[in-house]
Amino acid sequence: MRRGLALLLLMLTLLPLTGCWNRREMESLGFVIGAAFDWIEETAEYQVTVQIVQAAALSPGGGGGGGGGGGGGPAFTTISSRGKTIFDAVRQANTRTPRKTWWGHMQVLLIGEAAARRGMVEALDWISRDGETRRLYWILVTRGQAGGLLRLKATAEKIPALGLREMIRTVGATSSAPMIRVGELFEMLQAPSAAIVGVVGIEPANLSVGGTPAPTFHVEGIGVIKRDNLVGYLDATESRGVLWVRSKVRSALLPIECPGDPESLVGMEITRASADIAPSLDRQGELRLAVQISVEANVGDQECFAVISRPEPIAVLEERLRDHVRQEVESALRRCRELTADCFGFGDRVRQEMPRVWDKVEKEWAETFRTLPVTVEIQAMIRSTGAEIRPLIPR
Amino acid sequence: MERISAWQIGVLVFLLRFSQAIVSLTPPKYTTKGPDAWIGALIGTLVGLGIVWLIATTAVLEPNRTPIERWITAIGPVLGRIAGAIYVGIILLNTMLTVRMYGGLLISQPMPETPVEAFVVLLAAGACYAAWHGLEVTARVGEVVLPLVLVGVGVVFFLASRDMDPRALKPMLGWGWWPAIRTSLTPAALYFELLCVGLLLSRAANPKRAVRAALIGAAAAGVMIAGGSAGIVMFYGSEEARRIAFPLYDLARSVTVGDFLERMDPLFMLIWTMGSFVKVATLLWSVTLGLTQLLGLQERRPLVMPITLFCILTSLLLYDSQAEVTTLFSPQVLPWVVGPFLLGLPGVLALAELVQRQRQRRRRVAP
Repeated sequence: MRRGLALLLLMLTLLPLTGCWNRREMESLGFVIGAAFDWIEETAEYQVTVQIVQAAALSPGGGGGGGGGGGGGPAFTTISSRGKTIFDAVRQANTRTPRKTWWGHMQVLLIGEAAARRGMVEALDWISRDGETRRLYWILVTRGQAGGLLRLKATAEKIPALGLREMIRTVGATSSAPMIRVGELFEMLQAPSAAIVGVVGIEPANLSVGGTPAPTFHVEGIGVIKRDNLVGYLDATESRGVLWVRSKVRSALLPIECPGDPESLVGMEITRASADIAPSLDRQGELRLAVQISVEANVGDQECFAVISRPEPIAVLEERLRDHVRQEVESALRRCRELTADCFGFGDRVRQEMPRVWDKVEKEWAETFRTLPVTVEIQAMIRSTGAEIRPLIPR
Repeated sequence: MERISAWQIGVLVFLLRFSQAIVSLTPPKYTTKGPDAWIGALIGTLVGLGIVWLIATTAVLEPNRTPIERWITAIGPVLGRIAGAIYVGIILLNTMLTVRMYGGLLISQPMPETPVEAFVVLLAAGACYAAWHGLEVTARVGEVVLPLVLVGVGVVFFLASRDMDPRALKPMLGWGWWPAIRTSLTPAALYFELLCVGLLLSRAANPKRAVRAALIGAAAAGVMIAGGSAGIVMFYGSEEARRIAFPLYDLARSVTVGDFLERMDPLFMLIWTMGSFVKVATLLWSVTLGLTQLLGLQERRPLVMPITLFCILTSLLLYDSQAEVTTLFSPQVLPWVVGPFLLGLPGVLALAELVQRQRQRRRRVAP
C-alpha cells in the first residue's frame, strides 16, 4: 500500500516537470510596448494600433534602425486592427502578426479624442480586466487620432513608445501635464471629482534626424474627463494650476519680473510644492473651500543686474512668485468652471472630510463647483539663489 | 498519539486563517464604504476571536479529546455522531473551497488556458502526502512556511507603501458604525475556517499554552487582514479597492521600484501556494481524523487518499464561475450560511458539556 502510494505520488510529481500548460515561449510572443485606441465613427468600430518591439534588433549587433526600416532591421513594428470592442480589435491584431501580442510589458497607452469623448471606461475596461496587463503604464489622450502618433518616428529613441514614455517622465520638469499611470486613472474615474490625464500632440519639424527635419512628440496640457467622457482640454498654464492644487507639481520654471527691472525676468525653479484643501461650512451653512499651497523655489537664472541675494529682493520675489502661482490656479479654476468639471479633487476632499455634507451635495456637485467659494492662500519661500551671490555685471 | 507544540498550533491557526485571505482580502470588496473596510475587518476579528476562544477554552477542559469524541459523550452516540458529521462536513467544505479557489485565481489571472483540474490535483496531491504523514509533519512544514509568508507579504506592502495615500482611509466611520459592522460580517463568518482548532488542540503537547497560541495565531491573522485591507485601500483608493478581485496579487504586480524591482507576482504565488498547501494538509488531516472517530475506525491513514480524491472531484463541481464565489462570500450570503454552524456547533457543545458536568456534580453531591 505504502509503496503504491509513494509510486503514485512520485508519478504525479512528473506532471509539473513537463513545464507549464500555459507556457509562452519568448520567440512566439510579440511584446507590445505601446498602444493607441481610437474610435472610428464612420464604421462604428474601435481601432487598436500596437507597437511591437523586435527584441533581436535591439540587441548589440542587431538592427535598431526603427521606424519599420533602416539600419540592419526594424526595432519595432506597428500594426492596426479594428473590432467592435477593444478586445475584439486586439484579437484581430493577433491575426496580422506572426507572434501573439503580449501586453505585460506595455509602457504607454494613447487614447484618441473620439474614443475618449465616447467613453473612457468602454475603452479601458479590457485592460482593467485582463490578466496580462498591469496598471503601471502611462496613459495620455491625443487631440485627434492616436494611432497615427505611434507610427511617427517622432523621437530620437529607437522605439517611439519608449521615447514617449521618457518624455512623460521628463514632463515633471515643467509640470505642464500630469504624469498619470493607468491605475491612477481607474481610481480617479471612480472618485467624485473629474479625472485628469495628460495630452500628447505633435510639433512639426522640431527634431532633426540625420539632418532631416522630423516631427516630435509634445506632452503638454490636461484632458479633463468628466464622469466617463473627455469634455475639454486645459493648456500648459491651466494644467499647472490644477497640479498645484493636486500636489502634483514636481518641478517647474516660472519666469517672474526682476525686482527693480520690470523688463527683465528671473527664472524661479520650483523645488518643492504641496497643497492642502480644507472644506468648511460658513455661518449660513454654505460649503466653502480653502486651498493652501506651499511652494519652495531657487533662483534658476536672472536677466537683470540687480543683486537679489538679500532679504529685501527675496521678499519681493516671493511675493511675485505667490502672485504667479495664484494666477495659474485662478486661470485653471475659471477654465474648469467653464467645463463644469472639478479637476482639482475638491469633491474628493469634501467626501473625505465632510461625508454627511457630501451626501447632500453629491448629486448637483458639478453645479455646486461652478459657484463654490474657493480661497487660495500661497506660501512661497526662496531657498537659494544658486552658486552666485551677485550676477555677472559687465563694466 | 501525535503531539505538536503550542507554537506549532499558533502557526497552523495563523496559516489556516491567513492563507486564503492573502489572495482575496475580502473586507474592501464587501464594504459599501471603502474607507471603513479595515475597521470592519477588525470587528470581524473580534467576533471570530470570541468564537475561537469558546472553541479553545472548552477543548482544553477535555484535553486529548477531539470535538467528535466530546459530542458523542455529551449528547449520546447518535446525536453526537450527527453533530460530529456536520462538524466534519463543514471542515470538508472548507477544504474543497480552499482547493478550488487556489485553482480559481490561477486560471483567472496568470494562466487562463490551463485547466483548473491541473492546479486542484497538484495542490491536493501534495497536501494528501503531508496529511498522510500526519499533523506533526504538516506543523513542521508550517513552521518553515510562516516566515516566508510574513516576509513575502511584508516585502510587497513595504515596496507598495511609497504609493499609499493615508487620506484614502478618510472619512473614518464617516457614515457611522453600520457600514463597518456590515463589512465585518464576512470576515467574522470566515472564522469558520478555524472550526478545526478543536481537533488540533486535542493533539497539543501542552493544551493550556496551546489555547493561548491559538488565540494569538487567530488574532495575528485578523490584524494582518485588517492591516492588509487598509493598505489596499491606501494604495488603490477606496472605490478601486472594492472593484479588484484579487487585490494582493494585483498589488504584487503593481509594485515597482525604480523600474528595477518589479513583477513581484511570482513571490506572491510562491507564498500563497505554500500557505494553501499547509492549510489544505491541515484540513485534510482534520477531516480524516474526524471521520475516523465518527466511523469508529482504528486507523486514519486509509481515509486520506479517498477523501483527497473526493475533495478534488467535488471541488471541481463546487461552482462554475468566479461570480458564484463572490456571491458566496458576500455579507448577504456567507454569514447566514456558515454563521449558524460557526456559533451553533461550539456553543451547543459547550452548553451540553456544561449541563453534563452539572449533572455529574449533582450525582456526586447526592447521597
